[in-house]
Amino acid sequence: MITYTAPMWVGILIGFIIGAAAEIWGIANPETLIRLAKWEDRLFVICIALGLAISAPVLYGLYALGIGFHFSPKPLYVIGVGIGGLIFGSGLAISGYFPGSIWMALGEGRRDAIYAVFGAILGAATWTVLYQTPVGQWLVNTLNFGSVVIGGTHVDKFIIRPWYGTPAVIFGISLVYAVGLFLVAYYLPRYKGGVRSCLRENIEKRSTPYEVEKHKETAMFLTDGGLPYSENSIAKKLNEYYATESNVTRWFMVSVAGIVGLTVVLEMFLHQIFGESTTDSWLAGMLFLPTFKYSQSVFAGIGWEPFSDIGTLMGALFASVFLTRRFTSFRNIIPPSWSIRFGNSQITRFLGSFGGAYLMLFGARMADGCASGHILSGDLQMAISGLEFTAAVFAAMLITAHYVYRKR
Amino acid sequence: MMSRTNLDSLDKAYKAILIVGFILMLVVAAAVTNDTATKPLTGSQVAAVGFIAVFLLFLGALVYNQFPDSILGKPKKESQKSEVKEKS
Repeated sequence: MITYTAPMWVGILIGFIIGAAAEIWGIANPETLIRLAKWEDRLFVICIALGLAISAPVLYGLYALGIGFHFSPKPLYVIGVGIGGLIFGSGLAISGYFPGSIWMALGEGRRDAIYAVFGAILGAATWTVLYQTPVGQWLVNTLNFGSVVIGGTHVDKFIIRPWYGTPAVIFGISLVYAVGLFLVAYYLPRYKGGVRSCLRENIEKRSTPYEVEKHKETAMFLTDGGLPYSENSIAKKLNEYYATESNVTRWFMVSVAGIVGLTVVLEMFLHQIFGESTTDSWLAGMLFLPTFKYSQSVFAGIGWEPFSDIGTLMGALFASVFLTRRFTSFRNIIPPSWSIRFGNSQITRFLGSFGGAYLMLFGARMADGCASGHILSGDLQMAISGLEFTAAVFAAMLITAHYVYRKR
Repeated sequence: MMSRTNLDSLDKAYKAILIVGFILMLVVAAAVTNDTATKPLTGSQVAAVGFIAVFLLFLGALVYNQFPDSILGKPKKESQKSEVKEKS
């Protein structure tokens, strides 16, 4: 089996690619994720489904050919993962952030991301304290089925042992999995009230007037508070790609999903899975709780996550300065959905960003992963824990957003 | 408010610093970790790299605060004026 382990500093480059791609995509802006939670803009679902459809067969195809990956499907402890996912989804709907998108938003110069960083560290610290109590141990040990993926069990760093036959069987399963995800990416309309996904829009080369209007509205909130750009700039093409002639730019927006998925496959070959929330536990341990049992296990097992998080921030900073011009210089920009419901007060936004991020990280650490470790890397490996976490997050996110953002 | 030419120069200067800063970050990361692949990262190693990121971000905020607050690439006041014109 061919294996390789890259030096730690390479994590900065991996984080950089993912941070830059996701910033262009609009994930650094909390409004994007609040609209996802309100089920008004499903870009994230479409792109993640497409990214996984491309990268899961690549991962298991190469594995079947003898390439070794640093597999790390998270353990399936049903209760902890489920409850963690529910708490994570609620926090996501309130704050508009994933653990990784907080670093991206900082790179984009978003003020409310600063509040989210502190909420996130405190949320991680809360789990560190809870972990060594009987409740914490019950959550991670009850109904724990270990690290399992659809069709196999993770038995060693580089080995997933198939339940039947050879690794080629898991590759076959990944093809079926990819077809299912591709159908979601193709048929799920991007906008509520629209008819086409972004993929279908590009293939059919048309969109309804309503969809064009929604694209314009999206471009407006993405560029709100950003920097000026000229008519012929790359920023204009990226932000207003729906209105430009350039098909390359249009396809680039769709292919971001593939870039992110394949970068995670590369990362798994080089060193580890992509994860962003472990850094918060590591920071909480370093700052306040160095002697706690959970902190000790994080210190011993930490990979290049702190470096890849810094890389994520730098990638978003580069993209927002060089490409999209969405750098907001920490101005007071409140997500529109939030300001419609709660007004423009910095204090309420602080509470939403800080409190939401607190819940999100508490849930993420309870479940042993976040949107990166479970939804992106976990679902890419077809980890059953990742699929459970994804379902719990979406259920809680949709319900929370329905009540939090409903019109008075 | 600074002139357009000065803002462009400031923008270019910051971009150059950003590129140099990022390369420096990679060099520092490789140096402080001794190019290791498996040893867990320590607080001081991460801080050495993190400080560069914080500095670049802080500098970016200072520089781009000089630029007009914009939407869709146009300064907000200008954008509001053109919207009014379009409506009338």
